[in-house]
Amino acid sequence: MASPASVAAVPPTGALLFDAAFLRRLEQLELLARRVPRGGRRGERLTQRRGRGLEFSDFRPYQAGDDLRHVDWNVSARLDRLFLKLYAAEEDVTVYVLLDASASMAFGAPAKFDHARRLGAALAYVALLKQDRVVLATFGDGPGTYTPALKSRRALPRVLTFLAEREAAGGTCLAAALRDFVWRARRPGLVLLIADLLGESAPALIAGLDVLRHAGHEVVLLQVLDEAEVDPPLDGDLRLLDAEDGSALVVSVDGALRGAYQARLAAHLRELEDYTRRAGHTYLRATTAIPFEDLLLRYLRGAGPLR
Amino acid sequence: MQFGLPWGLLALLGVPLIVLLYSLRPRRRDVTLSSVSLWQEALRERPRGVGWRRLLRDLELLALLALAVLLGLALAHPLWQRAAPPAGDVVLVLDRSASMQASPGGGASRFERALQVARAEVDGLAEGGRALIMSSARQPQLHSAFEADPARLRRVLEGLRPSDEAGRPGAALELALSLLHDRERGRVLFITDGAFDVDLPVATPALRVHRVAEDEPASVNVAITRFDLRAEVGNPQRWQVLLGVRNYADRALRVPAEVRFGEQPVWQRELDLAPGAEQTLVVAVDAALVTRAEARVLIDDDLAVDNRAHAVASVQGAVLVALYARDGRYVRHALANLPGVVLTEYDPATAQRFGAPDADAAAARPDVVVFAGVAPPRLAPGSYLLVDALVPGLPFSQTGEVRQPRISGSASSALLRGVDLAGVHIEAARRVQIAAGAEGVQPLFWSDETPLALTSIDAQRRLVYLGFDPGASDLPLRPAFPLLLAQAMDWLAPAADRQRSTQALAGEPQAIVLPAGLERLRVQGPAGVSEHAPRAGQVLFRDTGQTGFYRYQAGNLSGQFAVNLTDAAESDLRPRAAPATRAGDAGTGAQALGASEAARALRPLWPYLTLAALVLALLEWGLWCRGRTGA
Repeated sequence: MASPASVAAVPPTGALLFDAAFLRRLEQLELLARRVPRGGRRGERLTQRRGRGLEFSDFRPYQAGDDLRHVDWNVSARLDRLFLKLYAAEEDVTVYVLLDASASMAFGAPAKFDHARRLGAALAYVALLKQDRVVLATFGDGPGTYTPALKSRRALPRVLTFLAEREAAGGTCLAAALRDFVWRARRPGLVLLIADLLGESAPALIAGLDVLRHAGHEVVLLQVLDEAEVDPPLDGDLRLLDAEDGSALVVSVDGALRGAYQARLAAHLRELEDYTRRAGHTYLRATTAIPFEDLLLRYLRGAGPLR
Repeated sequence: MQFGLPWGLLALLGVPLIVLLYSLRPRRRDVTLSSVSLWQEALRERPRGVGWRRLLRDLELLALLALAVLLGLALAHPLWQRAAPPAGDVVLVLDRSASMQASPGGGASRFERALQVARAEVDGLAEGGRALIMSSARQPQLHSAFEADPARLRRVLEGLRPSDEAGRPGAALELALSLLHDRERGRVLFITDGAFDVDLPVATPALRVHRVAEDEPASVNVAITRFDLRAEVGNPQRWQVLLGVRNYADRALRVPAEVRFGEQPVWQRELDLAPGAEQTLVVAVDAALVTRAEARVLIDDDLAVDNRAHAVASVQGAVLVALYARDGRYVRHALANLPGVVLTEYDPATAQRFGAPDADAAAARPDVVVFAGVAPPRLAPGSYLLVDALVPGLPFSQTGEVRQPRISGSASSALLRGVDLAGVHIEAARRVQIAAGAEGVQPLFWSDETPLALTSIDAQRRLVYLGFDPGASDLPLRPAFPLLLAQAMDWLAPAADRQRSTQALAGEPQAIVLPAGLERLRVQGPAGVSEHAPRAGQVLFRDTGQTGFYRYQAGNLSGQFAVNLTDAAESDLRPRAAPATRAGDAGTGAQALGASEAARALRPLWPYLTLAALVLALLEWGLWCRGRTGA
């Protein structure tokens, strides 16, 4: 098992470096999957599905065709009926860490993408520590880039390398990217979607997220924004350039226009919140101004994805 | 505020041009955002902010516009009228014209009120301030220099009196303004009743007009505007009298009028005069020969001086002329036919003895001696006409001869009044040269080569010289010849009883020509007696400020003339000065400026506007630099 110190020395990018103390704190975390999808392998995660496992779970009446080896004879004798003993099956969860690598994620100082990569790396590490399978993917311009399913903490360097080699560039269509992901990811799991969710309208984003829901994934939506996107320090005659498609918008920005933009942003975010609440997804929004450790150890734990 | 150069405001047309150029200027900053979609949605909800609101938000543009406005205003030379401290020199110009004697409604006359204003100005002189007192009537008159002592100035004021003259304020005010030349913060205060029609000088901040007749009731005045008389030719017992009377009141008046010869009334009538109407009468009067006549309108109105007019009758007298001529038939013929000339011709051979003690006694007593073609050896004191003759001892001498001289110029002289010399052909003329430094010699007309006629006058002699034989020219065939000789006689023999002009306007100088040899002239008029020394044979008598009869005497010479107001504009007592004048203030001298309202000065604003424009230019430059660095 790789030590936290060696883990810290491996990645080439300084942005993904975690010190030993931080890693030890990560080891205490666990990703919560409220609806554990069907996993085919043994993991540290308890599943609510009845079946063979190491831990007694419950009884149920015998039905024709059940395995007689699971009949609990003591209970059956007592109740003068045949009952099967159920066991909690320890199954693994596939954690999909999906990272938006479009050009819009390059905005900000520090860039949102760097923040998102650190977040993705940290969440992947937590998952790997719990013997969950981790698949990382980035989507941006063109087909998404995926890692194979990674398991155990020994895969962390590969996680870090994968993330370090990614760049935020090009445009994106979330719905198309998620449909592509769902096609690839045969096994439902816990999807940690880290994106800014600004490049498309809320309905378009919702359509993409619905693809995940319909595919049986549990979705944790982590929206990363820059402070300048929330409260833009813009004024005067400007030509606004879209980082993804290069389109230009000539405006004269004043307080009224800024207010209108913020109102539109609030409506966009509210729509996303309403959807995730209806859909049962977990939604967390944070700006890059929040210290990364606070984000991970406080906000994400408080919002639910981590415990 | 007023503008000294209003056309400078045309520069403000640059303001919309600046806005246009500014709008066309590409100056948007590129900003890359993660996504512009929300901005697009925000824009749909409100306009893009172009137009005036956008412009107003642009500090740089506002600075440019303000800069253009300030420069445009500065070019228009704006002047701010403000109360000015009363320091500096002041020229007090008092109107002493005849209308200032009026007192419509009773009480103090206009001149007395003007003196009050002047006294208040003098008493209110600021420390270090000086005043000069002058008056305006027919001619401007200075009564003091710039004086800082109020007591002295008051004494000068106390010595002023209104005159009987018609006012001509323009010349006085121009003189007053010229006295302020190079004096900073100087001003002219013209104290007047405004009863004149003359345009005041161009409005200047230094000139203020104080009108003392602003609150008067309507005036009632009837004036004699014309008065003259002449004897019928050959009948000194019958006279023609010309009389003009005008009613300046706003109601009809019945006015008794009369004419007196000496103390004897010779004509009387009541005149019915409509408001503003004038009646001109020519009446025949049978009366004995007199020298003084007077016309009167018997009415107690607001101005008495124009209720009387005076005239001195003139009688044409004879001029005794002695002629010495060698073949001077043209001169002889012309002189013999001049009215009023008694010609006596003498043997030209006796000219050589002219002036000698044993010369013909009768020849020593003519008024004018004419030498035509013959010259005496000397000229005794007297008056002479030399025609193609030169005498030694004159201030000009012959230096040669000129063949066929062409008259190229003539002087403006009383001798040439009405004399047309154009195209006169002269066969030959004497070439003369005037001695250097000679005084009293004036060419009458000349060719390019020589004077052809001239006059000479000194204390002993009066002389008219014609430098060619009239018989060798076509001048005798022209009307110019007898006219020239007649006017030469008038000039050579200016005896008083031959003067035609018997009247003068009050304030007009009267020229009294003295025969040679007279050195002192005594004049007695309404103001008293004065004595004067002649210059160049005449006395220019200026003390005609009062109407009435003036008598003068010098040796055996005596004469008289009359002085009248007879000025229709001056008798109109209504204040009617230019709109720029303002009502007088009858207040006391409590203020430093005295009874008149506070002085006003026009302060040029262009320096301040230019300075503000400079500051804005620096601001705009700073904003531009800031925009370039992207701060």
